[in-house]
Amino acid sequence: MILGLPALSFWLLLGIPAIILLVMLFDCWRVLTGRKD
Amino acid sequence: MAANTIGAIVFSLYLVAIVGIGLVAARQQKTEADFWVAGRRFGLGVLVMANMAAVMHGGAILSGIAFTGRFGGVAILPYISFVGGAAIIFYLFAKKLRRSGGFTIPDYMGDRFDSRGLRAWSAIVVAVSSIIYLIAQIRGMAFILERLLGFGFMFSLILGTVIFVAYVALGGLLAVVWTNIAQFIFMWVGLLILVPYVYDAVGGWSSVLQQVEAIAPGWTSPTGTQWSGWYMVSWYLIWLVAYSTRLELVTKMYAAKDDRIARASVPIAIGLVMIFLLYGNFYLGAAARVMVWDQLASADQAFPVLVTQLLTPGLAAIALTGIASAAMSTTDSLLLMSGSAIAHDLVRRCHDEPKGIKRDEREYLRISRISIIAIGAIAFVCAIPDLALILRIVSYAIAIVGAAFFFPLLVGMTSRRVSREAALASSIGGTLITCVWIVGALTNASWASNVHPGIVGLGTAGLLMLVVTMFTPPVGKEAVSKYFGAAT
Repeated sequence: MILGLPALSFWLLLGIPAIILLVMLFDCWRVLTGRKD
Repeated sequence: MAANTIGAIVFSLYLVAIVGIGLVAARQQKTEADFWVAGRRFGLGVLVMANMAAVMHGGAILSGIAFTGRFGGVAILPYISFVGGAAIIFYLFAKKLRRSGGFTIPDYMGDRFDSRGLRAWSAIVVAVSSIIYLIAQIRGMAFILERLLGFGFMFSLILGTVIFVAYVALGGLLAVVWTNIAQFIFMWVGLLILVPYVYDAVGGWSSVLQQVEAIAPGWTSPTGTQWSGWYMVSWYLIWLVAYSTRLELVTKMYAAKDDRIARASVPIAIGLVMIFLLYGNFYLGAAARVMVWDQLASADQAFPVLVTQLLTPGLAAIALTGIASAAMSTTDSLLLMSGSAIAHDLVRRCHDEPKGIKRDEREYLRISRISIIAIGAIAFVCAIPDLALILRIVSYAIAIVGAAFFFPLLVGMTSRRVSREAALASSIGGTLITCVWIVGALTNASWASNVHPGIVGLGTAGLLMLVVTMFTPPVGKEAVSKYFGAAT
């Protein structure tokens, strides 16, 4: 049981999109500050 | 004061406000670019809100809570699809679409592949799929008004359609986005009112998930209570394609102030949507399953019953009105898109310009408004009878749009080599096979029952794109350079 959820795979399915999103948000910051075209 | 009266007053104020927005936005409409892409002046804040409204709407809350409450953990799958679709738009589509200076996806198809036929075909796909979807949305909206606010069905249908057509025809994309923002804030107010009451009743995230797992074993597993792993993966693929080709979202890229704003708006919006879904679908869906599931005649009633049970009549009316208003936010975008497909793509770009017909911008503005009124009238008439078939077709509409546009967008944005013939074959072949498969599924044919039409259509579209590209020459340099810069 991890934070009320029995399945680790469930957390992976939440965690993977969260990681992709964080990478995108980092690139988004680079785009807005002109560090990335 | 009775809950229905409070609901009706709040909703009336809201209707007056959105028509007011339409009138104010109408004063800024001088050219076709003002009407369809709001003069390309959206900054980051406005575009983020507009993108969120394109993905989420009040209907998504009602059906999302019903779906999550019923099936459980499988409702996690939109998260992966949203993020995957957003990544495709962010990394591959947004910058090039905005820099190309078009208005619509048919503009992209026509310009990138230098083909008037592809432009016309794309406009027809956009118009037809949007109108079918629009018919279902108008009916759905009338049902929501009927159920939540106690209006008659016919009255709800007329009221909703007239208000929509009025503000979209008056103010174009600017009115759509301003009203979407108002709807979105209203929806959030409706949802946030609930927070302390639900927390009081079922506790926080961990607590509610432990309770729901005890009631419905398997609810918190990634495949939920009823779905198989394969069924989930096929839906994940369909939704990934559906979100990367979601016309309401992709078309908004044209309205950004510049390409940096267009790109940055996508991940920010999707991040906010994910937070929104964790609360608005997941937490509330679990709470509904724990608290009210036994009392429901159908899963769709989960949110109204939850609200009625937890809140005082006055607060319940405000919460339900918020959701009812937000149920409209997809409908106006659909009306605008089908209007642009006819007025801009078919009349101006496919008919007038090739024949050298020159019209004043004001005349194009008039044509745009007339086409929106005509589409609104068609959708209204078709929404009156209970056409169950249309609702079933709509459930496959995302597959048609995905088959028509996914590969031409993906390959056209990433490869100089792709040919006009390949794009035509992929878009038309993929769409036709999808349609044949949909007919098979609707008539319960055995050959169409095992695989979703979208999977077959995408497979066909991808294969045709690959094979035909190998045997045909690339598109001319001028069309390619618009999306890749001059050849090096």
